[in-house]
Amino acid sequence: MSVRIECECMTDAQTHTFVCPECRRSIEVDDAMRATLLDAGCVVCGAAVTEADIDNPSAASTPTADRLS
Amino acid sequence: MGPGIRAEVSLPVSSPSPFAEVVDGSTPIYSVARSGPNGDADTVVYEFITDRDLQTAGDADVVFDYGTKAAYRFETPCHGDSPFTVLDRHGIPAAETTIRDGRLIVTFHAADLPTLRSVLDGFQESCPDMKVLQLLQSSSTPEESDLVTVDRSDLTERQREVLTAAYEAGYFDHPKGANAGEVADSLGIDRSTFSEHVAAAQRKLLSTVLE
Repeated sequence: MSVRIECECMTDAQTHTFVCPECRRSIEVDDAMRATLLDAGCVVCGAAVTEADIDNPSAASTPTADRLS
Repeated sequence: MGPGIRAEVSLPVSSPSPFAEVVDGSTPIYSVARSGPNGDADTVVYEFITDRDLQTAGDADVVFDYGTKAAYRFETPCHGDSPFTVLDRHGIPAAETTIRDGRLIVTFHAADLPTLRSVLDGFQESCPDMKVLQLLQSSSTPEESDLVTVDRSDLTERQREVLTAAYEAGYFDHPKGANAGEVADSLGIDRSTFSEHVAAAQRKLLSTVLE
């Protein structure tokens, strides 16, 4: 039986909960999307996003991790 | 194409969802498939799988019986404010569609941030109750991935057994959860035999990963 090992961080991806200070939407985001939000603002209302609007990472499975498990 | 974004969005089952006249949302629905508008017909055909005894309010018909589950099909006018029509306008197929807990959950992949924002604007325009559940952005490029394939059958059954026992006992942790003698005792083998099995297994695995 073969196992494919992905030597890359996607399987260890952590998620954050972003709560928009303007529209109050709560969205689960990964590390890459967190950086995008900080750079580009809320994807729904466009409000500026700061570190304070995104909580600390929590362990959560991603589609990639699910497939590899 | 740059890093895309996988979005999971929750919408009410009620209008403008095409499922508003067919289901009430109390029964989970999955494997939703959809045919695009056909010529000038201006109608769309949907299929979905759910419980065989679903009480449908609309014209959904069973097209395949799986036993306790069944595939249903219905035809509906192509509404311009349907979330699927919004995706159509952006040339994006719904990657996954389900109904659970009374909500229509649509997952799609946007090629970039402007496209994602445009789709979400379209959703929200006809459905202020839109919720964005999850956004994942692909951050890897082929150059960043470094994949190897490990053939576990390279390990003998005994090596796998010893490796598993050692791993579960914390032999590979730092500080160690168990030493070689303790793991060997749990397996009923000599310490030297244990060490030989672990060394052989490590050599096989590392030769694949590091080559």
